[in-house]
Amino acid sequence: MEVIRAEYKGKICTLHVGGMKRQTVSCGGHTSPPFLSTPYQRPLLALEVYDVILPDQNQYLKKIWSAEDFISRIKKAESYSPDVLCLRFISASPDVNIAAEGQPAELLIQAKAVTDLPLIITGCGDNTKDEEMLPLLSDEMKDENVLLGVATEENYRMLAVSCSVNDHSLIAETPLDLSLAKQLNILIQNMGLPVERIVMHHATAALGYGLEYCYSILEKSRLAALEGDHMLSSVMLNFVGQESWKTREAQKSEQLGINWETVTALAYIEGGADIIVLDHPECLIRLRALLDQWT
Amino acid sequence: MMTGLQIYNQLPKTNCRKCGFPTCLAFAMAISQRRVSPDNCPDISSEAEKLLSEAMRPPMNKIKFGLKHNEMEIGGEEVLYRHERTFYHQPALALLLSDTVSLEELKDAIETIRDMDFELLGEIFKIDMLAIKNDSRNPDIFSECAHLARDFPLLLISEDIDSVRKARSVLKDQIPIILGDSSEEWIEFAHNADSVLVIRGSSLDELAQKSKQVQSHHFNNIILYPEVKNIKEALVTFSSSREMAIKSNCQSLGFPLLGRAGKDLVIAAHFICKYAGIIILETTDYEELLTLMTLRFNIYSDPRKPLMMEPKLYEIGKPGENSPVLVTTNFALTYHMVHSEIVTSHVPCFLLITASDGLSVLSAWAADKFSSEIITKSIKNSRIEDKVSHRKIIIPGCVASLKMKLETESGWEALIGPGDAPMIPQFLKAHWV
Ligand code: SF4
Repeated sequence: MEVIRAEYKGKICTLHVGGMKRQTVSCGGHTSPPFLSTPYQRPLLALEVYDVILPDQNQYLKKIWSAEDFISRIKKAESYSPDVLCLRFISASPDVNIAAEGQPAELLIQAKAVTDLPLIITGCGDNTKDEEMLPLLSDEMKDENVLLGVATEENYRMLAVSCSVNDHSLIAETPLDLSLAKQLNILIQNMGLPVERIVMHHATAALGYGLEYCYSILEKSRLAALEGDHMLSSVMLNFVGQESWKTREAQKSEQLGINWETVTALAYIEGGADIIVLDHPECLIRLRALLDQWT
Repeated sequence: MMTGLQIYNQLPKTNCRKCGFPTCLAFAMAISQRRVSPDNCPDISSEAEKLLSEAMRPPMNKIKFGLKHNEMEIGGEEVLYRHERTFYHQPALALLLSDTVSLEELKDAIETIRDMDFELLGEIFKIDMLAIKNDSRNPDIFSECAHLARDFPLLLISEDIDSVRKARSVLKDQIPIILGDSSEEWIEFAHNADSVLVIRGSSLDELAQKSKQVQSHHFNNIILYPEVKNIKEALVTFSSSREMAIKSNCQSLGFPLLGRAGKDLVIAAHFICKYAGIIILETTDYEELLTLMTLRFNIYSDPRKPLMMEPKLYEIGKPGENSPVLVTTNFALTYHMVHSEIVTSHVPCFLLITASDGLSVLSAWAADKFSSEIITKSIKNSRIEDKVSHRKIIIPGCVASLKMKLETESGWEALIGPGDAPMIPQFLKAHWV
């Protein structure tokens, strides 16, 4: 029997992260919906390390990550060999009033010396603060091709320029809306950073907390790009760890939290995500084992 | 597929309204959208009904099984991606039990499963069905086990037709599913014994061929089981089958698919996303099952309907008379985001949910569904005034402009909360604790 499948003329951009002394990884480059062509470039699994551990952080994550300082946490994360390390500088947030062990830029200088993994560097989520801080971090990593984020409609200008000057890529976030995503991609491209260097974040909800909306927008976005909408052909990312460990379920038991994070990640991988940011090492191990048999 | 007009030409054209539609044409349009079935017209000729039913036959058959008067349905799917319309029938999760354990143990296992409650968005769900495997190869033991489990819909797994025959005979009140062989003998048995038969094959070709053969016996009550080795094969085979059935109208593949996830949570989750109609699981772990049921609930929710919460007062933690009161709309996603942030804050709260047509805060505000009148009405109806001693209500930051009017109308002081749910814990700590 001849299997007739839809054919697509579009192609998803390939994104490289890392360079210079740093290891390099890549994702994207697809010509079919997730995993339906061979070879299919597997999604990257990132492990996230916070510069400070907030008091209301999930208790099980705290147990894993909080006993040590930032640099020890990075070394610990590296020991699980994620594809990418995600450094998250939340201490800069106006709402966080515990001090980190140093200014973000100082911490980053120490951090980059202890690991040669490709890096994602994210801010605190406050548009104004991030607009100030992220360009400093971007300068610090010049030519090492990191993935910087998160840019929104409010603060993309500075971040796009900074990434383009320093040869980085940028995460662009819009809330569950393809036309907004496309518009932000165009705006960022107009600032000199091409779609190939943009990573779309269409919002991440945890399993049971609106996952289906984010799952469907991934599918829609990917199909639109494969059908030829070049301005949506950037790779896609989901911050699965952060959302999963905030849920009621993840407060109940560590195992349930791990299930929650793993299955949330799996759904986004099915939907077409190319980079998944995780918080629990066990989850990384399970998903890697899965991807080993999948690709 | 027929157009509305072609369908109309087959109807009596009397506009008698017995079908519930004002005209035959309106009814024809509804048929063409698959919203009603042709037999809703009492006066339709039997030839026309046959013609229409055949033409409107969904690309994938719906299969009914399980307890009489409370049957389950799987299949009947029409799209590859849920956003194209919706997925209609969520996959049944069948928990595997072996007939080699003692009857006592089996009884306990069944009781444990029966007692499991899964609460999703306030609704209680139960385990759908059990799969019993005839590892003993003994017809008497197998049928005894089936009898013990008879108030669950059953999937009988055995390669021994005598075992299945015997087990079937003790299941008077249900249509079981049989997974064994698909030779003539089994087809005939399933057909006569009012059962659903699983057809297995190691490739799409083999499945399509066997399915055609079964259908040539005028038997349509089947489920296809692609015997795949890993997730890679599973995705390609299940997707191809679904795509061939729906896009190329391939009738031999137009049936629900069965996937075996073994003990692997991730593979089971994969089967929920990608196209299984029935999933056999080798686990009774509550936390794993809760995870899977939640995923299934999400993926199979209807994207055409905004998910709504019941508008009322929700208590989070154990709030008392001094606890904060927050208000937001009844869009389920909004509710869940706010709810999870309140939980994170460890501050017990009252959360007032308004009747806002399931819109998010900004859309509801723009559509006048989250106005000072609506919030005031919710405050009064919820009797929150009997539950707290203060009169302060926290409104979402993005609708700060409601403050003045709301204060005048309700007599409550409106505190302007954060614009984004993740800031709620910070806000509560700063302004309340
Ligand atoms: S019941 Fe039949 S004849 Fe009467 S209006 Fe409806 S379609 Fe027409």
